[in-house]
Amino acid sequence: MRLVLADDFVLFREGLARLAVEAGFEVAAQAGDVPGLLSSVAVHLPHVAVVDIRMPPTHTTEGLEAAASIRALHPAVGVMLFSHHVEVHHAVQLLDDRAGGIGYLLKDRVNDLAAFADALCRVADGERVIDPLVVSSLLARTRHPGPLHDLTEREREVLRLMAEGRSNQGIRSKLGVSDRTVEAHVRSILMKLELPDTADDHRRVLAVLSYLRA
Amino acid sequence: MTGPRVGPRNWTMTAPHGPAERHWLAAWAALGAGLALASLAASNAYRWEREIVAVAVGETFLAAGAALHVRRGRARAGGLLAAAGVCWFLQGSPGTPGAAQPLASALAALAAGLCQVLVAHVAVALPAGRPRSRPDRAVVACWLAYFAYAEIVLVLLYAGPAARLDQVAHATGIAFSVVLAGMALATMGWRWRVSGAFERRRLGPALWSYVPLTAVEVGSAVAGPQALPPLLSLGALAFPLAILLGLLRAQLDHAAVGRLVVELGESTGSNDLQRALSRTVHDPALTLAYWRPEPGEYVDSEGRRVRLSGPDRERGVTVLHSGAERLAALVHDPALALEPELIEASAATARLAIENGRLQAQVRERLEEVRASRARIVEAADAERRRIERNLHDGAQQRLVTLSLDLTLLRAAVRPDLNPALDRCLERAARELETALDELRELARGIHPAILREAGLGPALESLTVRSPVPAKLSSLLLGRLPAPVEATAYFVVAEALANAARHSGASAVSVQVERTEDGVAAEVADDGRGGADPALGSGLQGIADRVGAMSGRLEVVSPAGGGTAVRVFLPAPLNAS
Repeated sequence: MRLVLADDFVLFREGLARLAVEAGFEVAAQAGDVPGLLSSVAVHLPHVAVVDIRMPPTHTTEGLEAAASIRALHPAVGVMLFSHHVEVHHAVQLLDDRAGGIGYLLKDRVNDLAAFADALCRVADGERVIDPLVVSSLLARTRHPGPLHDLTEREREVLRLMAEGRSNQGIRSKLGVSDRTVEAHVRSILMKLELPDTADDHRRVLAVLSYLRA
Repeated sequence: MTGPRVGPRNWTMTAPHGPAERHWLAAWAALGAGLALASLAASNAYRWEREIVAVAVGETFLAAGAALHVRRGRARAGGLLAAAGVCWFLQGSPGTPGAAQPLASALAALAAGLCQVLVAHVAVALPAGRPRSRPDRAVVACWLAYFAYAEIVLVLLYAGPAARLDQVAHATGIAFSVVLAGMALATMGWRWRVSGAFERRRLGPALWSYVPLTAVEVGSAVAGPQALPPLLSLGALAFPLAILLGLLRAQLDHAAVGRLVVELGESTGSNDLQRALSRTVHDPALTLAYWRPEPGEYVDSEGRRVRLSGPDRERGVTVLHSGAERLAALVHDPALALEPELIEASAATARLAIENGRLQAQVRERLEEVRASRARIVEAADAERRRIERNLHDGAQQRLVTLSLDLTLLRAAVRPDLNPALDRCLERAARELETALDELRELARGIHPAILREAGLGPALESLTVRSPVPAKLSSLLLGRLPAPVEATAYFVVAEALANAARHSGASAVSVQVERTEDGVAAEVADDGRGGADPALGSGLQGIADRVGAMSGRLEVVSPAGGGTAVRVFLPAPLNAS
């Protein structure tokens, strides 16, 4: 599986390359800024472009804009965004209706090789990957009694995985239960939260995140 | 009176109600009463209506003279006019049979002539009492010459009665009266023509009333005093009454300075000041010229250069000073110099108004400087916070994450089953590193949240409320970005209020509302806690209040005991400026 890495901090970028190779990925190219990233993506058409959100020249959200360009120009290329902090706002901005994988993770996640490799594979497969910190901060909000309180412990677990972007299959393998059980949980959750039942996983992530955000 | 002193002081003013004035008034009243009594005592009972008119005219001359004398600082004109009044009494009742007492008759004729000369002198020389121009002086000299001539004739008549001389004297007397009265009228008509508005206002009544007076005098000279109907003699009243009217007008004009003060208290523009001054001193051509130290010239309120003196300018100038510093100059009718107290009072008022305006402008300027300086301090502090956050991001955070990455590679290289102790050690190190990164992230967020710069106030507040320990509900009506200092200030106000709600209030819920209005951004953080927070003591809010003040905003803390706490902030940010 081919990757293109973009980060202006060379030490981290090279470490990331080693980690990717260790996890079995092929690093086709590395870039230190957005133009370099875009040309590398155009040349190598990687499965996933791993992009730092803060890059030159302004060091704010260049990565987000680069991700939008890549998704517009090369829909087949997945984009994994890395950042030192994750925000609900950015997560929701990323989840548009376009096909193609998209991920949004804390840089800290490089501390778990298996999870890191799994996230990259999911993005390569066209899934959405939302950092658990985004979801847990939303779920941690103490709320007034409402539909969320009516969920069972297991349903809350399933909801969290749904919000992180996992498909039914992903949830099943994560929880070690059968397909039918996962489907039953998902139906029950969607009914309790009065969310539309959709087969489209992409829309489901956005719907669940938006619900948690409100 | 402590005003600028300028121009020739033709009339020295005394304090209007000093003891000297009271003494003079008493003296004049006693003289008037004495003359009236004497005149009535010597009167002819059959001609009482003539007597009454004669006494009334004489008393009015006396009163006008006294008023001029007392109110205008012993003005010479006052003495002359009063003397004319005395002569009027001495010329005797028109009904007194002159033939019976030749000496008395001669003296009466002398007094009558003197009266005419004095009145002509006063009329020509108004208001000062001294003729100012050559024609004026010529008129007065002619009158005096005529008087001397009449004197000689009288002496001759008294020495030996001569019927022919009497007739000649009578005829020449008439001729002289008519010619001289005509000359006086002509010089006064010329005076009227060249006078400005202010002078006309003062002298107008006296100048015009001289016409009926002259008619009476000429009439009595031609036809003899007895021939005139008594009521016609009242025409002579007009002149002294007009003098009194002039005095009254002056008094009213001085009182109007008080109104000027009130008016200037309400007005703002420099044009208003010139208009009000012009109205007060009745000089439509009055100009207020402001002094510009650089390059040292006078300019009007529109900034046009004003020349104060020149060969072609015959205007009075009153310079206004503040201490040793020149402020401005009033360019006015030169006749205003005749009433220095009026122009001085107006000038003092103008000086106050100009100084007041200057001070206000200075205070505004200083305030603006202070405001800008406070805003710069806040912006500098924000920039510093951003710089520190950026340094953390580019330095410690990057290095720790890279370290974490290497540790992961290291752990992948170590086989746990072969070296379990090392594996546990690495795992512990990884957990420590994770905690350190978490703490560093929160630290960076507290210093300056990156999301604020990346996405603006709305997303930053969402991030803030999501993390609030007290359940927080955000309703944000924000469209687009605001100026960075405004966003940062609003953010820190909400952050501080949320932190206070969590620390002190015991609240179970807090609502955060933020709204973009036409002229700024308004935010409110309201909890349902126990209230009673003292906004003065602050709990961190004082620093926030200073920050809000630096942005020219308003901060309000409402915290009734048991009624929750509401922190409201408004920060100005006009829509078109953001």
